[in-house]
Amino acid sequence: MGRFVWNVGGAAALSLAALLAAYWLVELITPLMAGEAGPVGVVGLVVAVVVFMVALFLGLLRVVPWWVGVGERIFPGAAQPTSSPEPDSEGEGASE
Amino acid sequence: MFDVAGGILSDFAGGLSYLGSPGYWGAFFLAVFITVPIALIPGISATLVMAVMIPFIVISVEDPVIGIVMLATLTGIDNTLDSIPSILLGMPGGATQVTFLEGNQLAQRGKAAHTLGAVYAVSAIGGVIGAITLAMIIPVIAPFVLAFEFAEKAAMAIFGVAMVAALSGGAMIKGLVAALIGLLLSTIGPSGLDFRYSFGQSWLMWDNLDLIVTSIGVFALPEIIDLTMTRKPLAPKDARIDYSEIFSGAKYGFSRWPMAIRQSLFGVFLGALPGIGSGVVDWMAYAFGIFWTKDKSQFGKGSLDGVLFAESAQNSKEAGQAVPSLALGIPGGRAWAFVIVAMVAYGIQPGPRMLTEHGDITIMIVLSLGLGNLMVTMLGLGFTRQMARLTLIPYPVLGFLIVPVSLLAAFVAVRDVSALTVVLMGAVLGMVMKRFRWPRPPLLIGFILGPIIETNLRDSVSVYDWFGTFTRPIFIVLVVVAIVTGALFTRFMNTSNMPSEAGVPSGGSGDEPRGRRSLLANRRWRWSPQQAFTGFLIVAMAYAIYEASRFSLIGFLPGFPLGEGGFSQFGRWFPLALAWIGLPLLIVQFFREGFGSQTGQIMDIGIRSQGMEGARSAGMIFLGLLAGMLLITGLVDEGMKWGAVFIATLGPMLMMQNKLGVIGGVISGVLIFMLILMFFDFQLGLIWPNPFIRDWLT
Repeated sequence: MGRFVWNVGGAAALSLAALLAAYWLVELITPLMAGEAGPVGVVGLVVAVVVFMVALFLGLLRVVPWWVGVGERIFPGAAQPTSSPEPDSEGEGASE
Repeated sequence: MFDVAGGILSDFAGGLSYLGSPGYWGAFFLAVFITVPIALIPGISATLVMAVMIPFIVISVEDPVIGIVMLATLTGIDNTLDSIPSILLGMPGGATQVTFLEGNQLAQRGKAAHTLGAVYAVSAIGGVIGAITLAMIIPVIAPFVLAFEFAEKAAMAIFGVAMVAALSGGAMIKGLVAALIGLLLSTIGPSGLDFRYSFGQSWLMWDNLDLIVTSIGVFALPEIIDLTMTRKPLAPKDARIDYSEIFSGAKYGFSRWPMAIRQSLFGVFLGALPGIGSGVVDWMAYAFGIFWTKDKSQFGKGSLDGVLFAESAQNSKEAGQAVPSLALGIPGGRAWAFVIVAMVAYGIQPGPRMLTEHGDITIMIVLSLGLGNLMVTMLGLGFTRQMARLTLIPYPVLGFLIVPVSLLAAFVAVRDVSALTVVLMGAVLGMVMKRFRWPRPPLLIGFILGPIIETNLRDSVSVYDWFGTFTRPIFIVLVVVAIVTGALFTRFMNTSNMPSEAGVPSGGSGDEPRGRRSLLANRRWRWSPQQAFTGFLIVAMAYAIYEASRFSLIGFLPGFPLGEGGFSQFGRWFPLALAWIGLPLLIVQFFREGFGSQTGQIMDIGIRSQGMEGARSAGMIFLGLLAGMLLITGLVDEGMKWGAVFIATLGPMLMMQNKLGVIGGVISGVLIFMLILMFFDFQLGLIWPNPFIRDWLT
């Protein structure tokens, strides 16, 4: 149970942090969206969003396994309380 | 005479000189690059973006040729790109339902790259053939287009209904009833002074059911839910997604050039008829292609040719729609209406003198339609490898990105929270139809064609009365051709050797035996679950008759042309006729089901997730999340956008329950959040619905 709460809490915190970061980014690029910087601003806008999403993805690829690993050390041997079946073995999601 | 010809030629030469202008190429590439991301967002059409962009273009682009050409390019290339989400994500747009029906099944077999390659090839052929045909016919077409009056347009739509026969081969009664249901659904809402089937709901008194909203509900959402419940990637693990596969697809597409040219010419013809929308062109081109194919057994189960039939016509149709838009000033389609708006804003009057007075604009539109399609083909061939890899991502990650976008797109289409009601009711109808193997394409065809048939026939009758309408020569020819085509289709489809259970290789609704149908295959009566649905439809059809005969708000006003109470006579004849045809058909279907009669092939996709391990719990998670989103929408200020973020974030996490689910959830939540902030809030300035549950409680 402890590990489940740890994982769910971590996922929720990560989601919140990512949404806040996205909100901050959108606030930052609002002048570009309004066209104040002209065509260069539009290119900058696209670059900013793409860089942000790629950085977020790469960051999550590192942070999520690390968080889950920490949870496994803190709550050793604790089973997941959910009994929902794992995805089919064809899915990448089954790799965990 | 020679002076006029010389003038046209010099205008054409003036137009061609734009090809050396950096301004033209800047506008052209900008149009292409604006359209690419737009088309990849399901539910957001080029039309919507044109509506937003027109003021900017007219104000900031001084040269009318460049401004108008930019808009024409935008509409011309949107069709090709719209096919990408249909094939890769299982998310059809308003005019890519055939591409979705056939192409998405190909993607599930790992042929996404191959299919897209072929689509680009025929799209290029369609675009170029369309442009050439447009250049050839625009000087002489005006009298032909003008010959199509109300009655002829209605007859063309009736011709479209005949195509239902092609899509209902093994289940003719179900197909016809589905088409009738679609036609009846199209009558919901205001019509003249009648509020038909409004059930006392104010939103149904304002507007009819929207095509985008209804097709998301009936067609798209059931697929997305079903695919999400499988918890698998769309494509098998060994799917080939490389450049050789894309180019082999393109090679196949180009090798089918005679077919592409035939379909493209058909697309130009359909497009040139004002009022025949993109959705109609899609299905009619598909049925037209099937008609010319000997082996019809492949269709409905993931046929590449089926995709190509529709795609080649979709691209050439734009050139067809340009004909009435430029030659007569009558918008050939929704997107062309915006081009005309821009032309008028620039002080250019489209019409018969367009060619003589603005030959430069005409020739540049023709050229840009062709060039735009070639450009998108090259871009597509370059980027498809990366895009097709989307089919390797487990579908819940994509599904929970698409569901909120679909719901938001439905909301944007009508700017009212009632869109959610329509989408969800449509989704229930779509799921039940999938489960009991009722074909949904005829329903959508009926829904699209309904208003065309009704309004045109009504207008024609008010001008020529019934006798005058039914004795118009072109009308008679078209109706006879429709009946003959329907009969031929029925014969061809029944004689072709088709297995049952289209689109579901295994695990579909296996409760029905395979093989030929017969009225009384099993003489012992046996109740079956599908009879509950048929019974419900009988009750609904009976109610449609009762309501049409009884209710009218305006009908109580003195002097209004009423029958014996109910809708006005103008508002009642169409739904009454439909329901009276549908009721006996449904009763026959009910008895067929009771006596164990079998359903043959239908051109629709069954339920893939049925019987799969974990599908039930996945369904419960989905319903729970949807209920959560509705609760947030109904309780919180601007709750709809928070509900969309909620479902996008939690969906993959709960459905996958692993690291990929968490990463997918965070990413899709952020993407939806940014889409809402940047596009829906900032660009569109959407006014979000009031928290209706909170309002109702207080």
